[in-house]
Amino acid sequence: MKQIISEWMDGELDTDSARAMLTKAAESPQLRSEWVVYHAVGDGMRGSPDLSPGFLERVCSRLADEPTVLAPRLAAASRPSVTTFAMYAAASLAAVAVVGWLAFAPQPSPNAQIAIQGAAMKAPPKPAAAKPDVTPLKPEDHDFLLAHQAVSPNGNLQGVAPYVRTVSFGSGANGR
Amino acid sequence: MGARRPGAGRRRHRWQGVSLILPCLLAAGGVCAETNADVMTWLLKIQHAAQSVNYTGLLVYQQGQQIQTSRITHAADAGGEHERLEMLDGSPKEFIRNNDEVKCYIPDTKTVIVEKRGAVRTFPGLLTAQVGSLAQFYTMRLGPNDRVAEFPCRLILLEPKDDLRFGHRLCAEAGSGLLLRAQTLSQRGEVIEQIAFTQVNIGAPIARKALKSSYASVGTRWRIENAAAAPADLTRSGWVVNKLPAGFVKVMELSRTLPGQTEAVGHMVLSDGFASISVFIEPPRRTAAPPESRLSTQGAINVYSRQVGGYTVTVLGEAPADSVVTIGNAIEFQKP
Amino acid sequence: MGDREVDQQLVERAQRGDKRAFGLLVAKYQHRLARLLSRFIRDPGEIEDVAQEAFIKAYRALPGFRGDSAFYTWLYRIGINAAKNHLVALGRRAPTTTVHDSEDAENFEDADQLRDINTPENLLMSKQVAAVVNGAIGELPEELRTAITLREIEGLSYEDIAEIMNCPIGTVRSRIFRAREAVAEKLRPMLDISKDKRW
Repeated sequence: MKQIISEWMDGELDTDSARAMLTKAAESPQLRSEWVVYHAVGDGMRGSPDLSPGFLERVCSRLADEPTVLAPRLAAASRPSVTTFAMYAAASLAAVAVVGWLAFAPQPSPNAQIAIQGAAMKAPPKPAAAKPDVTPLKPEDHDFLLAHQAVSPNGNLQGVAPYVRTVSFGSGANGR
Repeated sequence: MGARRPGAGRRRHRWQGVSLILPCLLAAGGVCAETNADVMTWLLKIQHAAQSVNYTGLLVYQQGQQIQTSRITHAADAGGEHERLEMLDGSPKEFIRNNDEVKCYIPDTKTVIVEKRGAVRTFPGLLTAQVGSLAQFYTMRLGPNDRVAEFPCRLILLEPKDDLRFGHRLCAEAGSGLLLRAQTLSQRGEVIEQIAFTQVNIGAPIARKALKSSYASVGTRWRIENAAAAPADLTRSGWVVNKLPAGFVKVMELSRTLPGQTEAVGHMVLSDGFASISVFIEPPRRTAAPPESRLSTQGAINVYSRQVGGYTVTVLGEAPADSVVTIGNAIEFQKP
Repeated sequence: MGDREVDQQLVERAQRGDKRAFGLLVAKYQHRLARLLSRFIRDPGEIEDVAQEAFIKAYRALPGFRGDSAFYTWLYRIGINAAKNHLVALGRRAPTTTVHDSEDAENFEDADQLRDINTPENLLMSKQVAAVVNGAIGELPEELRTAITLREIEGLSYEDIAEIMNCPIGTVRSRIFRAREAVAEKLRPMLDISKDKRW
C-alpha cells in the first residue's frame, strides 16, 4: 500500500487508480500521514526550512472551522491542448531542475548562492585593462587546471577524461 | 522568439529560464519544450552512465595540432566508483580516482598529488539542472545518429546563443548513454578541442588490477603533495564580482591549498549550467615579482590573470577569451 | 498521469466538500510556500502565520479556481499577496507600484516588487529535518539515491528515470519507494505524526 502512495504522489498511477487512492486516503488518517512523511522527504532533500511541529495540524484545524466550499462540478475535463501541457512541462521541468541545482550545490557555504552584485550584462564591455597578447599556458596553470577539473561539471559527464588537458603542456609550478 | 518582459534581464534567480521557454514554444509551435526536455534527459543519461557503467578504452584528445592518447578504465561497484587514466604519449602520468579521492602520479618528478574532493562532492543532477538557464543561452537539439568506436551513438548539440560561451557537440552511446565523443566548438562552429574514444569496451567486468596504478608501489616512496579544498565565504572576505557575463552565476566558493603549498588560495566557480570558469585568488608571494596581466590559451581553455590589490587573480575555464577577460576585470576587492 | 493531474483531482474533491483533500494539498505545498515567504519575511513565526493565511484564503477562493493554471502557480500568487498585506499591515516598507497580473505566473515579477530581504534563510530558520533527510539519503545505496534524486530534485517522470538509469520502470518504482521508506523511517519520530491528530 505504501508503495502505491509513493507512485500516486508522483503522478505515476493512471487516472482511475489515482482517484481510487484519493478516496481511500480521504478516509484513512494512516494513509494521509504517509503522504505527509513522504512529502517531507522531498522537501528535506530540497533543503526546505523547518516548519514548527503542529503547523499542518493548525492549518487543518482552521480549515475545519471554515464554511465548507462547494463549487459547481467542473465540466468533464476536456483534454488540455498539447501546447498547454507542453508549456507546463517545460515550466515545471525548468523550475524543479533549477531548484535542484541550487539546493544541491555541494555541502556548502550557504552564501555560495547569494546573488552577485550588479546586473548581469548581455555583451562583454571593453575590458578595463587592454587585452594583453595571447601566450601559451604557463607552468603554474597546471595546478589551477587540476583544481578546476576537480569541480568542473565535465567530471560528471566524462569522469577523469578531462584531466588529459592538464598534461598537454608539461610541468607545473614546482617543476611538475 | 518573443520579446522579453521589461526587467526580465535583471532577474538573477532560479525561474529566469521559464519565460524564455514559453515564447520559444509559442513561436515554434510547441516543438522546443519537448526537445529541451529530451536533451536534458540525454545529459542526465550521460552523467549516470559515466558514474555507473564499467568501461575501458582508448581516448584521443585533440587540440590544435596536439594529440594526446590515453587509456581510461572505469568501474562502479558496491564500494563506489574507481577510475584510472594513463597517459600513453610523452611524459607518463596517471590519474587514479576512488570515489572522492584523486591521485595524480608524476614519475618524472617522483611526486604524487592527492586531492580529496569530499568537501565539494557533487551529486547526481548537479550538472545540468539549470535547464531553464541552459535553454536561455544554448539552443539545445538532438542530432542524427552517428557512430564512434564502432558503437552507434546519438548526437546532442548545445549551440551558444551568444559569443560568451562555446558550443558543444556530444555523442553518447545509444544504449548506456556513455559519452563516446565530446567536441568543443568555437563561435564559428570550428572544432577547437575534441576527446573521443577510438576503441572502447562497455559493460564488461573490470579486474581490480586494471584499476591500480603502475606506480602504486614505487609511489609510496615518492613525495606526496596534498591538495585540499573546503567551502569558504570569499564574498564576506571582501571579494566582489561585478557584472558577470550573461548566464554565468557563482556556484561555489572554496578555500584551497594547491599541491605542495601551505598558503590558501581562494577558488570561486562560476557556471552557466554547462561551462564552468574558475577564479583563483592568490595572496601576494614574498618571492617572485607579481606577474603582468596576461592571457593564455590552450584549446578550449583560456586563462587570464591580473593583479587586484596585491593579490593575483587568475581566471581559467572553457570559455572564449572575452568571457574570461571580462570576469577577470570584474573582480574587485572591497575591504569589508 | 502527471503531477498536475494529481493536484487537479485533489482540488476537485475539495471543491465537492472534502476538506481532507485540501489538507493533502497543504501537506504537499507547505514547505514550498514557506520557503517562498521566507524571501520577504524574516521571522519564522510570522512566516507560518502568513502561510496559514494564504492557505485559508486559497481554500475560500477555491470555487474560482478553474484549473487553467497549475495549483501551485495559483497558490503562489495568493502567497505573495498575503506577504504584501502582512508587510503593509505592520507598517513595513511595501511597494507602491501595482502588481502586474501576469498570466505567466511563474514569472517572479510580482515577487520582484516585494523587497527581497536576501537573508540566507538558514540563519533564521532551522533545517533539522533537511539535515536528517540528507544524512539518510547519503547512506542509501547508490541506485536508490540516484533514483530518488532524479525524482525529487530533477522532477523527472519514472519513464525518464528508467531511460536514464537504463533499467525497467518497475525497478524505478521500487527504488524510489525503498528510498522514501528508508528516509521516512528516520523522519517519522521527528514529525510525530499520529493517527488521531486532528487533521
